[in-house]
Amino acid sequence: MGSESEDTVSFTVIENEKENITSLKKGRSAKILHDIIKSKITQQDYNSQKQVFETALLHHDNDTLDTYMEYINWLLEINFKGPQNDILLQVIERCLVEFNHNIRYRNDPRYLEIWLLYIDSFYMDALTEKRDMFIYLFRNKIGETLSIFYVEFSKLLFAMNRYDECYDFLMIGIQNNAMPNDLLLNSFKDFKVELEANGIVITPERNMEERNIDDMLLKYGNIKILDKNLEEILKQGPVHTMINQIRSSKLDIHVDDNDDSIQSDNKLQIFQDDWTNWETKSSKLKENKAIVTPLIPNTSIEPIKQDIKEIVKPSDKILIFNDDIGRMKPIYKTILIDGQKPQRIDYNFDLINNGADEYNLEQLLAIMKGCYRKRDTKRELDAEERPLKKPHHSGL
Amino acid sequence: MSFFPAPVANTSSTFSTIATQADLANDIVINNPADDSISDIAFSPQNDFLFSISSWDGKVRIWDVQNGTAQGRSQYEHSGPVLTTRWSNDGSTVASGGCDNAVRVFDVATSQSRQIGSHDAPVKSLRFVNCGPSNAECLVTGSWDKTIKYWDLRQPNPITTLMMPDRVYSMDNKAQLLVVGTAERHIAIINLNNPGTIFKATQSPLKWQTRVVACYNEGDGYAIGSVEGRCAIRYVDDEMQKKSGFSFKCHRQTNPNRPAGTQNQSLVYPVNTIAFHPVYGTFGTGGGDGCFHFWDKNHRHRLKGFPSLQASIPVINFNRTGNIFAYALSYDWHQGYTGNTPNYPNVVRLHPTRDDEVKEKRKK
Repeated sequence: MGSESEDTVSFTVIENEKENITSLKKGRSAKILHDIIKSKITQQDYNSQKQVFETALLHHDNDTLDTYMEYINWLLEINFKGPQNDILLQVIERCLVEFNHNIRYRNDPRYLEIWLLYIDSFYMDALTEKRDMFIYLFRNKIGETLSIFYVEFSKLLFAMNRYDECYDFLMIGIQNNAMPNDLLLNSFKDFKVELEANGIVITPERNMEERNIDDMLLKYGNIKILDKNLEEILKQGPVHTMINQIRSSKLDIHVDDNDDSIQSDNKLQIFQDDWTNWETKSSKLKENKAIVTPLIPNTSIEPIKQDIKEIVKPSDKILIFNDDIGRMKPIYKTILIDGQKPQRIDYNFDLINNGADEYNLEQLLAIMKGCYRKRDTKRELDAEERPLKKPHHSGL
Repeated sequence: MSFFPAPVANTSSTFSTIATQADLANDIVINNPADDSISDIAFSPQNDFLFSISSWDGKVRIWDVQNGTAQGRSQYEHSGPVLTTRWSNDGSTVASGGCDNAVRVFDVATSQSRQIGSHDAPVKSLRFVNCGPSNAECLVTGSWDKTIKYWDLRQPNPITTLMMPDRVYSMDNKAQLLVVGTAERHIAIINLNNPGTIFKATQSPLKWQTRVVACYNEGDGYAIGSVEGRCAIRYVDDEMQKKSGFSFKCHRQTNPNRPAGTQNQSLVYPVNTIAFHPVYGTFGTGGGDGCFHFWDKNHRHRLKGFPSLQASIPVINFNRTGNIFAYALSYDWHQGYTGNTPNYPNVVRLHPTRDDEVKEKRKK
């Protein structure tokens, strides 16, 4: 290795940290990295530099967006191990919110760059959320004339296999004469090549030229509200007119509010509402935070086991005590005769036809009372004979 | 009728075949006439208000009605449940048979009882009959030993023993006709002019077990009641049977609280007992539903139906003139032991009959 000089970057310095360096999309300057690692910035230096940026932002010295850019870049470079805390997110969101409604920055590449950074850094794995963010930008006409917006958006849509949308947005970009022109056209060509390579056929909408931005908004700004598509809501018109119509069917008073105008008004209303739709990440996640508490030695952070007694759930059936057990209901004989209603005979036929013999009630009752005694003449004869025989047997 | 309270002035011209509780208001009620269910009721042929009640408690009790109240006169015992009782024609003797297989007689005058004979099985039914060419009175007993026996009360052995097709369930006689209903729906008809042979053996026309047989006053036919709420009107003579024999349904109800969605069901109760009015020739039936009805077989219609008394009627009978109709309410076991609750009634009621109830109506 050559000697370390001021101009050259010594990789031995970076070597120890190389696994920890997070990549930046636009690339990371090895020189700055080298300086940062070598200089060993203390917390104090860091805080003071931060303070410089904060005061600059407060005083609106020159272009605030420039300051933001520098601030964000500095944060990215200095936290080469990846975002250490929420400071980067906070700064980016502050920046985005500050210029959100500023028409001047709508088509500022720097502002769009921060948006893209924000989307890339903090919505890495959420493709649908990413798309929602892009649609938000599209609605608010941020990056309307910047090719990079369409290119990035089309990449995302392609990754999401939304080829039709991808095509549409590239076309919108071309229609809007987004700059730089060649970037967009190249991207469009790449898209077509990619489609052919993968054998994907898209069905682009006709009359691309006649399509206005509202239609596209309708098509792609389709966020479901109460499980209804925007289109459906627009078709419905305002709710209060619907109620009027329902009532009018009874009262026969018909007020024909100009439905078309209402619809268009309504459309605008919804889009106006959407201006405020975008939330900062912290406010989005505010309910989802886990409460962090310091660990104290000899404590268990496991959930404390509860002695849960058996609780009778409401779904459990209520015990109904049945005292029929061990008793029998009266047994009936039911006779079915075709064409007549069934007859239920209040008589236990099982009992009276018990076995081969038929019994009547009095017999059964007598049997039950133990007083149905048939005199068995045969047995009586045997009984008479036995005493006579007995001595004979004992004699043997 | 002086023994009964003065009847309620209910001689309205509107006649209904359905009686109400008000029609039973004048009944003399004997509560708990025995310690167990009533098995039979018999009136003295010589006295309007003297009757005997046999019971499953093993006793025969003789009752008298005076000034509207019933009084026990005397009683005697069997060594088992008593199933049947009857009076001799001169009113001097009460005979009874029961589960002790014994046939006993009781002398009303001396209050002495004695056993005159026995069967091999419980004695279910007995009658005093005048049989043979001499028309001598003798006692005939039917038993579950599948025989009937004729007894001369003065002799310890039966005059004749006659084999029956099966166990005797019911027996009745009028004039020279003796009809025996047995198990397996056999009917044996005996002409008492020739008591030693079965005059005619036949089968009950009813599908189910015979519960009771009862002879017409004329002695030319008999009625059969079955466990399945049905009565058959039969004549001994085949021609007469063809012309006038029939059967009809009775002691049935429509199930008032059937489960929803099920087909309507008729509740059928056994016809436990049939008794003919000694004067008018009409008859009453009592059933397991606790109802009794009066019928006119000749015109084939019901004279009067009474409301259910909520307890089975095991036996009914008329007195010699037919102006008292006695009926018992007690458990007859037709619902098994679960139906036998301590508060099941055990009652004998004496109903003063009115002519509009029991007299056949002239055709208009």
